[in-house]
Amino acid sequence: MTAQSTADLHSHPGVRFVPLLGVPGITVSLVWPVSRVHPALIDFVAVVRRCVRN
Amino acid sequence: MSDAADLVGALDVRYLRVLVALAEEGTFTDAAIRLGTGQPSVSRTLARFEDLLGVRLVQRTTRSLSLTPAGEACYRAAVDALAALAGVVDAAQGHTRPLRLGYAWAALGRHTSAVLRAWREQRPDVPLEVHRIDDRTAGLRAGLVDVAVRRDDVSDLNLHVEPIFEEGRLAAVPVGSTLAERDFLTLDDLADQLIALSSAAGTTTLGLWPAAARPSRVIDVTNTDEWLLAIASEEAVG
Repeated sequence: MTAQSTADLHSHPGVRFVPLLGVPGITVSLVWPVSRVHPALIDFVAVVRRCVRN
Repeated sequence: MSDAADLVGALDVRYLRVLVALAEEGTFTDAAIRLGTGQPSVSRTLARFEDLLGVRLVQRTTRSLSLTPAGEACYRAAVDALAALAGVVDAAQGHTRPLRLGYAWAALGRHTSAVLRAWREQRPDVPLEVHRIDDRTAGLRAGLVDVAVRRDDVSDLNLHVEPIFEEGRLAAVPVGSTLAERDFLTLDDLADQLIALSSAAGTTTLGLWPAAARPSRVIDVTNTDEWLLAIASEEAVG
């Protein structure tokens, strides 16, 4: 019961990942505090979006 | 009564930090933890700030606190002021402060390494630090990161949530088990198994199952390594 990303990043010779049906998907989000926005954050979000599109 | 310019001259950045921490953490204890100080110091600093302004900013009750209308307005202005002050420091340092990315589980999946490569090309001036932090907020709560990857429902008004992509769910089962021979599984197939999940950092809770069909046996793990080991050793599924 994990995200597709877990299988993409973590393989283990003793573990097989099997699609799970009938459950809601997962939304992956970037989250940051509105009170402390890093000056390069907007660029970072743009880079992530571009990589995910490709 | 001082005029406005005198009041600004008497402002201390610590006053603003204390107000923001109280507003966002909701208790004196948690605000003190965020600021790395003690609760008495937070109370004293707030009292000095309120004395200076001649206005009550925070309504204290026995168990919690709330902002007064003046406190709310001051909080929003303090957030902007602290961001502007951070901008002064960034300008002086040529924007070289590293960008710290936190995650608790699986980062950005198959996109992770592409993002790191693309960032190095696009912004070689800003190092990107990636930290796995075994905590549901991936270090946001403790202020350890600037931005976090989250897969849970975030309903904190102090946080901006930017949805990036959707992904499906998988079951992780031991390779030798009969479950591993299936092309797909359902929650019913897994309900009588020992379930490995991480209440601190994971993406799944027992709430995924309907209340009547919830697994009765659960093992709580701290991180991805422990989770994989519990499954590979044929102790559990995940």
